Amino acid sequence: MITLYDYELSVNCYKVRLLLNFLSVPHKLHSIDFFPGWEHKSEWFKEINPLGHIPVVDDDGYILRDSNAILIYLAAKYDDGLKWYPTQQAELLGEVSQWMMFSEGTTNTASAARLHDSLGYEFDIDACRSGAHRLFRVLDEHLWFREQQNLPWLCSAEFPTLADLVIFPDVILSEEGGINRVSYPAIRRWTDRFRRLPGFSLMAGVLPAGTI
Amino acid sequence: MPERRCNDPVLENLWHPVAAIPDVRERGPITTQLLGEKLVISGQEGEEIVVSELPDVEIGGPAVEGRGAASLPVLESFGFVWTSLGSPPETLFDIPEFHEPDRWYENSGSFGVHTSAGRVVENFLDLAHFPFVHEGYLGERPYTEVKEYSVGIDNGEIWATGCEFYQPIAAVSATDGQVTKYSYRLAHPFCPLLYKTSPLDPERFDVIGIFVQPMTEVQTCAHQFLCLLDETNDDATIKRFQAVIFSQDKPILENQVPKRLPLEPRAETPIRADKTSIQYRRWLTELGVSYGVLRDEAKQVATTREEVH
Amino acid sequence: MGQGSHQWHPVAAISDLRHRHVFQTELFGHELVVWRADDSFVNVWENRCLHRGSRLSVGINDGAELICAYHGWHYANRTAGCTYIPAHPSDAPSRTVCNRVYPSFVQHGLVWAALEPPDDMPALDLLDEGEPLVLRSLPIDASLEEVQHHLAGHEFIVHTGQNDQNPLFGLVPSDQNSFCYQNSASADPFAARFLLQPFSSTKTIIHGLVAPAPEEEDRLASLLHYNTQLTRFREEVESSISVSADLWLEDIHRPTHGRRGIVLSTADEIEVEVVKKWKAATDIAGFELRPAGTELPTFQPGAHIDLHLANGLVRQYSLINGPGEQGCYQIGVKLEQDSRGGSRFLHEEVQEGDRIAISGPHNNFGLRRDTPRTVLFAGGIGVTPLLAMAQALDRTELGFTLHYFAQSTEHLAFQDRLGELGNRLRTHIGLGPEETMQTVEKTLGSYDHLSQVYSCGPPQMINAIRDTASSLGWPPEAVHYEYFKNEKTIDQLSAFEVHLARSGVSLSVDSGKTILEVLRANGVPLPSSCEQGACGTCEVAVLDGVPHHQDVYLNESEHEAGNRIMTCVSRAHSKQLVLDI
Repeated sequence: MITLYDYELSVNCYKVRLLLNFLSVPHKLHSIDFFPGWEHKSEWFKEINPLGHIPVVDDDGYILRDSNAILIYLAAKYDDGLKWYPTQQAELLGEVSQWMMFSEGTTNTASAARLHDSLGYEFDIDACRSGAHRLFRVLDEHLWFREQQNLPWLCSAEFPTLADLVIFPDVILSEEGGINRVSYPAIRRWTDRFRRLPGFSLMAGVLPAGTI
Repeated sequence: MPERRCNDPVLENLWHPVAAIPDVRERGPITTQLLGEKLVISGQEGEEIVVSELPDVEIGGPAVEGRGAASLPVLESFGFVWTSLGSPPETLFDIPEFHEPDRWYENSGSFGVHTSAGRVVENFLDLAHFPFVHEGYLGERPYTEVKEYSVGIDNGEIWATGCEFYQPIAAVSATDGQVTKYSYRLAHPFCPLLYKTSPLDPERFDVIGIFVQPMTEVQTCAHQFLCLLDETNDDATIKRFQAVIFSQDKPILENQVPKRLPLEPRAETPIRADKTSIQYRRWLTELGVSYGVLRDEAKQVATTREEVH
Repeated sequence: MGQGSHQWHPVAAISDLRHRHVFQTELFGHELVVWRADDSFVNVWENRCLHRGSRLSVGINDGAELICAYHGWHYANRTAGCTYIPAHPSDAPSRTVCNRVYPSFVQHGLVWAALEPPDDMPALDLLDEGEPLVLRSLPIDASLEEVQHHLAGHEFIVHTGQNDQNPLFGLVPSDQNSFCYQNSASADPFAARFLLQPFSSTKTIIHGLVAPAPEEEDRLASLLHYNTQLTRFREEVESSISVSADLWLEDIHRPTHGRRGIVLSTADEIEVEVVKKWKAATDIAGFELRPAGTELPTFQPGAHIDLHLANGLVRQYSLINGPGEQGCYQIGVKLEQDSRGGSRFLHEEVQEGDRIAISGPHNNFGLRRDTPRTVLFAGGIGVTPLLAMAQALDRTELGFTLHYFAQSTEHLAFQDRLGELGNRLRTHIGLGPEETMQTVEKTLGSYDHLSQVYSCGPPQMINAIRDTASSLGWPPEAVHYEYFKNEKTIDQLSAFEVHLARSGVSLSVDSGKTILEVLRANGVPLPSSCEQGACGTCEVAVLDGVPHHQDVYLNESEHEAGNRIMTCVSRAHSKQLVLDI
């Protein structure tokens, strides 16, 4: 049984929880007192992950840190259809990787703004917000043209991939960092579609989208 | 007395929470805002805690030691640092349960939210949203009815009693949903408290509250307060629950317009379930609060512009 | 509010509204929500729930209604009237609980709206024929004036699909409309219209239309081309703003009471046309009624309307409409053998095309949606309100079954609607009274605390169901009924008198009527809002007598003082109240 070292409000932990639930992989959550307890920096946790970050998974002794690494592992091991991380389709895989890299950008902007506004982290908040808007413009344009081709997801496939999964949380929680999405209608519709996926799970701060 | 940006003598002369004591002690000077004024709170272990005004300090920027400039009154209570921009009363309200020796109490986090203090307080007092916003935690569809409860004024404080709500299966031992009874108390315009019968002792109450710090008219910090009888759950689980509940309210709070709380009774449409909120808005009106609220129906300024980013 | 508020502006593309999305935008800083119901009706409302100011854009479009995310209030398609308040499951919301609706229409693939109703019908002679290509709407972080200033000199490239030809076009404002830019030189057949939506003082959205629309295979390339053109234009505008616009705090007059879009007095009659009349079953005629020139008032399941017949009779009929069906009312009328002229008149005299006056709807038979399982027992024409309820329950996750008792299969009415219910419908044909009660008993079983019953039909059937339920341990509050002859249940409330001090008039307030209703019916217009005793709007001063307070607005000492009363809910302990009006 997988143990996930987890904090409810962590976006990176949410990404792992999303995939575990989409794939119906049995797991248990070990809550870390991330805030305000800073338990992830404690000695006992640093023995598990010397970087003192969460999420970390322990799959019956196999231990992995970093949300992207964990997601790729879980997809490779538990996704029989090989859709979330389509290793068998080179071009599609390239797209997925490209958008997973894009999420580094949203982490440094939208996610940082959220940590600044919600938990008092020190960041240049104006730079974070304007950076997020620049990225959201690119994302909105991309998704709008996908819609014109009847493709509902970021990559050129009829099914969602890790590309959609890793970007979704930063986008849906952007208002917590003072970044509203009124100028990004294609993004807003994409978040509807993602929330309507079978097996989708909420986190605190995400509102449900209602069914079709 | 210096002229205050907020221009609200009622709020200026109250105590307001500005930081959790352990955060100040362990993580060095904290910069924050209170009623639009910039503050630095400092005080390492063994030192006295000092709150200073620093007009040119950058909020969220690098923390600096408090230097020069005016020192404000300081009170340490319920695990928090309280201060005032004016002449506060001698004492803060009391919570007798806090002094009981068998209580669990720990710093449960302070969270920023983009709305006014009044909106945060009202949300805390509201039951009807439990099955929608806190589904599976504090309420569950389709059990949505809010039965009649009582609201009264006692000793200058608002009390709502006899509140009942159906709650889903509790995490630990229950096999069934149950009706939970609550009372709410407002001893301070921005410090609502909830009294819930303790599952460990039906004669005593768990006390849960938020001490809301009005940073600006439309930006708030909610300091979580938990004072429970609890021997079974570990710290992380208890705090996680509290953080989840508050974070579930966030997208709702941050999507209310206007952000400032409208006090004019016909500005919004309350129903019977909103009895506490109706009295709360009347109370703020009578006290004369003007910062972070909208008093005049005809001249309601578009506060959505305040969140343009 | 300045110029432009009485004008039509584009606020969304139709393609923005797919798949039960709730679209969000602004017009002159006023937040709007735009959503399309499953019947294709496009709604443009203020993006703010009147309860506690929640943005409706974070709510849910279920195809028939918009549901607020905060407390789950339901708002009907077309009227924006509230149809259900979960905190008070048995109270039908007052007619005044209604969000603000903005006038709107759809043309050229765009949704157009105005903040104030324009005087005339839209005179959009934008493009001559055919549907244009609707470009991707582009928001620009600049004021309307900045955008207009930059459009003046700018040249765009026409998409020809051939790289060597790139004719240019400039844009000029049209004579009739300063928000509409058209290509300055005629370049038949090419035509472009760039419409500027004044979102706020710091944001403007360009909605572009290009004609003729390209062939399907060129469509994407065309859209990409113009998107690039507009993006470059945007860069030019945004990079040249030297001073960022002040965050603009606009005074927006938000009148509260009485501000809602569709406000119809319950006392008023409205005229409807019989657009359809059909044989719904052996002795049941179906009627579809459409309003002449106004929206129909909001209804909830279980509601009925009063038909004011040309022969002078007034008859009540339940609406069989499902949620969101606000475009017309549908009713079923059974031909009563002993008809005194009501049902007979409707069956024999009224024809398609005729006009009838109706009033209401009223609801004494509201549907509670806070119980996991609902059992509906319908006897004959009693199916009408229960069919409305079943259709409402069908949109939820609640369990329900409609048991329809009828003489024969030819007596089953509205079979198209019944068909939608699938296996939630059980028909019972040709059962006698005993067999009917055996079925009822078997269906109900003993009370499980998770169920409720609604029944409507002949009085003997209702009474028997009530007795059976009671004998099985069902509490009265779980058993709801309406006699299909619409006999009102007798109120136990006291009757009393109100004396109006200023006019000297005395009025009696009967059982089942509120002071507010009686005053209004006698020409004393009092404002109201929640009609639940919560908001204080309907307050009146009391000069004499002892009020019986049932509100939640006044506090204890105000109740004790007894010199104020909320007329929508409160009554009197004394035989008379003297009011200061």
